[in-house]
Amino acid sequence: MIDSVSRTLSQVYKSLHSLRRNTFRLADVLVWPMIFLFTLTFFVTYLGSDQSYLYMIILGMMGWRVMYFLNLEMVGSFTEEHWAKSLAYLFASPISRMEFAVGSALSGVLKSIFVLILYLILTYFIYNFVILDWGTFLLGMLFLGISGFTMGLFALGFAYFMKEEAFNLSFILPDVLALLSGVYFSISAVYPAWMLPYIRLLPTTQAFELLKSTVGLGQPDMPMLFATTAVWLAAGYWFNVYMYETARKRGKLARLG
Amino acid sequence: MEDAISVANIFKDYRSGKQVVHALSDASMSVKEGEIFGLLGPNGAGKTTLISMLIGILRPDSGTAKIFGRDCSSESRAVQSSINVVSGFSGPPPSLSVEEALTYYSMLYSVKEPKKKMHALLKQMGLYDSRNWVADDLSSGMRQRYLICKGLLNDPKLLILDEPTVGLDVESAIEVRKIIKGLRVEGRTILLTTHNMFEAEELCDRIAFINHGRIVAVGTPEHLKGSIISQRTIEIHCSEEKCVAEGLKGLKGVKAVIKSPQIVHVNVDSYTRTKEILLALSRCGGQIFSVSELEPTFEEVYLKMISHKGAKGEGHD
Repeated sequence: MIDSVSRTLSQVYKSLHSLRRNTFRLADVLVWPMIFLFTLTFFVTYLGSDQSYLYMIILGMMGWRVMYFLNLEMVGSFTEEHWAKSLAYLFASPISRMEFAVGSALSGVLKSIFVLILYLILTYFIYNFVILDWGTFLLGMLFLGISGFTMGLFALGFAYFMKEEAFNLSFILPDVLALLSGVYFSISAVYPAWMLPYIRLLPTTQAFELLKSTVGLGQPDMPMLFATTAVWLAAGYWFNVYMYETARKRGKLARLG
Repeated sequence: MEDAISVANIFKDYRSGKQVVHALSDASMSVKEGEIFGLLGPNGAGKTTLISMLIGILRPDSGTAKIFGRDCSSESRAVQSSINVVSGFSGPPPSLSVEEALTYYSMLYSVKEPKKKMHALLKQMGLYDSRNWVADDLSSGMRQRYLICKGLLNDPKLLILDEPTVGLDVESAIEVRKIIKGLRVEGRTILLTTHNMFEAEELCDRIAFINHGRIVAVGTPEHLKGSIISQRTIEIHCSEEKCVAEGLKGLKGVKAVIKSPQIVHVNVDSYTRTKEILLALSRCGGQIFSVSELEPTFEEVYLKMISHKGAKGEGHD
């Protein structure tokens, strides 16, 4: 048990210590979230939208960040080892597939917490934004975190075969899901009726609806949120195991040198 | 003594579309505990495939690979805890200092008292003062020593060294070889791959030649040299080659005498004939400068062994 914790935390250690010498990672925590925040909120303010829409944008950005960080950390940790030609050392060590995935995702959780605190402070002072229902907010973030982890399991599954090509997936997946799940808008107001039942099968749609409900704009469906999250997580786990074992069989997992 | 590595009848094919590459075909070998075992062969012979199976990142199609009695596929995590691997082609994890990178690996291997262990190894490898350098910025020689530190962190019973001196300058390579010799004294089992025949001969207790996925020969360097000698030759440097050649013709066991200016080559059935040849030389006129038994170089042994394409993996051991 202690050994397993040590192996899991090794990924957090690697991620946090490499942060200060890695400008890409540093910018991903300090620069891009701020650019995102100000670009979108300035735009909404310029349009003179209702304050609840502004708050929905802020909540959407927070939720998207959580999802993005968890997914990116899982795939990024893998591809960076591939680029450094140290991937074989990782998989030749006793770390298990899940210890690696959970450890990398934990780094994403820490980054998310840091950026969310920054967002909360800045938006409080600039837009008077406060969380009125912390329980719903945290529950929404938890489910988006699980969705990010699920996405990471899928993307890692591809990465076992495609290596750096899969790195692109870690950027594409959250954006595609953000678009489908209506992070910055109401899905029922934008998508045609025939698409809605399919879009509601995505756990991210349900989680963002829950988040939006804290500003009176979403229609959360808790049983669907639990069900879709569980089904997608199970599918992600199965896919990851299948791809790992297949990659290990075909010699695609990692190469010495 | 227990076998450190035991590989039995391993087959492995790689498929790319309709093309099938037989990476390993009925490969079998064993490595005894405490020995330095060399695995030699040309690029694409199957060395990396075999090592990948041993370290648990590749599954065989059939056959078994065991390390200290544990199966490398089904018990991979237990195996991985007791071994370590160093590759001359690998790098350190990105953006970490030497000490941070070693701490990271200490966590992966759940090393007890990691700082103490790390510092002892860094001192042993002469890297203690460079411990805060970014590992990526180390010179090739320092990087190899850092990787050996990483390889020894979990005090492995078996250390796999994949071309540990590749790309190193002469001084660094000598240093790394010295370290490897030191590991032998500590009683560790080492599996070494290299394309440097001198290195293989100098370091290895036993060597396996692998080619086209088959183990074509296994034995000690001396044994392998002996196995390719079809004729034994004694070389004599002298002032009067005609006289010497005449004096040696007809001696028992002498098959042929070939003379060139100031050099005479005598093909004999056995080096036990050297004494009789020396006696005969003492009766010849002129000066004798040197007499030596010619041995094949290890490169010649290697070339001979791998030229037997598709030879069955029965060792000469």
